[in-house]
Amino acid sequence: MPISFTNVFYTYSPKSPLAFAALKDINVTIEDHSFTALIGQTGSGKSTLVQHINGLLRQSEGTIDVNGFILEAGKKNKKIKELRKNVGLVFQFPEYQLFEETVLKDVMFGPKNFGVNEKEAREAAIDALSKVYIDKSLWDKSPFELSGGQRRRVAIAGIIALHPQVLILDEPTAGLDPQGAKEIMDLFKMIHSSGTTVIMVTHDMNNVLEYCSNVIVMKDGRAVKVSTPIELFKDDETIASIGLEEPMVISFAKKLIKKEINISLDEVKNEASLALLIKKGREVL
Amino acid sequence: MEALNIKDLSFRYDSKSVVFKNLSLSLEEGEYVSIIGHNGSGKSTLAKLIIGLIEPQTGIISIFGEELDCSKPNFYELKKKVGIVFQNPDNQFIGTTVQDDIAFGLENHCVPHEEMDAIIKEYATEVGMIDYLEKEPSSLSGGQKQRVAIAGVLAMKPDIIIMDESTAMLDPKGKREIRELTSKIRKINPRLTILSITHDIEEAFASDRVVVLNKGEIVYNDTPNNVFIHQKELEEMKLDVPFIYRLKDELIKQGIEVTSSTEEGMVNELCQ
Repeated sequence: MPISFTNVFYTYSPKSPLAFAALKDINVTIEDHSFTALIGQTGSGKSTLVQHINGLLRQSEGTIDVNGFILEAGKKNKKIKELRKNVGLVFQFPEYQLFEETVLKDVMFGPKNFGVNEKEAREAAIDALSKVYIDKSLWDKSPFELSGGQRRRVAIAGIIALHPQVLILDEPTAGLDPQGAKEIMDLFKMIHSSGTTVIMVTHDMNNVLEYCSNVIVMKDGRAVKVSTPIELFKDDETIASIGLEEPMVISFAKKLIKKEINISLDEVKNEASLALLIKKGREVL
Repeated sequence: MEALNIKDLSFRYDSKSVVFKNLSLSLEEGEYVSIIGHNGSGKSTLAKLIIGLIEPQTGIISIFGEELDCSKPNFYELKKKVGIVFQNPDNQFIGTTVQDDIAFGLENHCVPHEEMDAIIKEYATEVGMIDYLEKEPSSLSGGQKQRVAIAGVLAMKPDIIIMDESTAMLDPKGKREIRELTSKIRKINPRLTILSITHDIEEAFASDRVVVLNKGEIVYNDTPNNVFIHQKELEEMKLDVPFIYRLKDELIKQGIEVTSSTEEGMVNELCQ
């Protein structure tokens, strides 16, 4: 079942001089098992939007349907805990939220909080830690002894250990070194291929192109475009109007196309696929 | 003239971990040098050593030929020559307004109030924030906050600026703003030496020199082109190379050799 937003509005500090309309008439559907990117400038409403999916923020108006859980404006949903178990949200810089004495205990906290017994929580935590490549030798260390990249992975393991059906990531690669960023993206790809719906707030257009199946473009609190990544990157008008930085492979391919090398933009995903397309394009010349 | 000299530097946080062992590095006045290395390679520790926030166990750090030593009377004078811009725009905004924030460092340096106003205006203009002097940090974007931080540092008239991943937390627009500002301040003051610690490979590619740090050792210290040809070695150190080098590598796999190392050059070569 998809996640759908119908006429959703959200205003921070309503009825005060600081009132700020962060979401304006959002109507979008995020398909089940999709890998959806949410993009747009800082302040465009991306993080506000994802925090509605697990009921952390309550819309001022409109309806949100998350895999059958109906969230309505002004009404309390008594099953919110169940919703939160199914929708895992990894905040920006989640490593700042680690607090337990050991890495393992930190990852076990989530499952235990949802009523899982000690033994099962431990198993879930061990499984999640191995998925994020945190070596066994680190499990009994304090999270604060780990490097920034390792801490980020531990924080993500804390959410994965809950086995959510929907995984939401708010700028998961910000501040990571290139290799760390790639490892983490490959991890999300694996989680996605095992049937989880993944929603990712990001500024990295190279990742959007390479990993995502859908993209929602936010501008000033509105969803201004919903499409596949390549449809978006072909749309020069939207790219210019929202000040988007194209993936480097796309801008390079566009330059070659201008010089009449025949390259099918739809097939460009990364450097490897671009190189292959360049070879084909040059053979025709 | 040599702006910064690091000689045989060794540093460890505790008895177990060695961060640096006999590290040496030199920066000429006016140079723009990038340091790259994976998370945990010691980049930020190096920045803290250079600004005298922590002390090395052995080795000498000299700024314009004078040794940085906290037991010497010139320590604070030397420290004034080095400014730093940190990563998190929210953690370094101290004032309640833009002008207060720029004034903070000046107050610490006991600049008379009459002179302060003009200095604040000068540097707020330089970073393009003159229209925001009365604004609170909460109404600024990340890129704007970092510009204010840079203005605050520039107002102290340092000879060396260290940028410790100062674009890492910004969105693409913010990154672009800081990149453009960096080249602008270099044009205004060509003698300013910049040491940028970064994960942004494209940013490093645009600097005069790239220093690769791995396990506390300098592995490469050369022009960007001479460093990034070592793609395989860099990948083993968990580092990436700029886009055009990645593409070149993939093209070789397809039997296409290109010699150019700029994007335009490559496009032209491929179209022949």
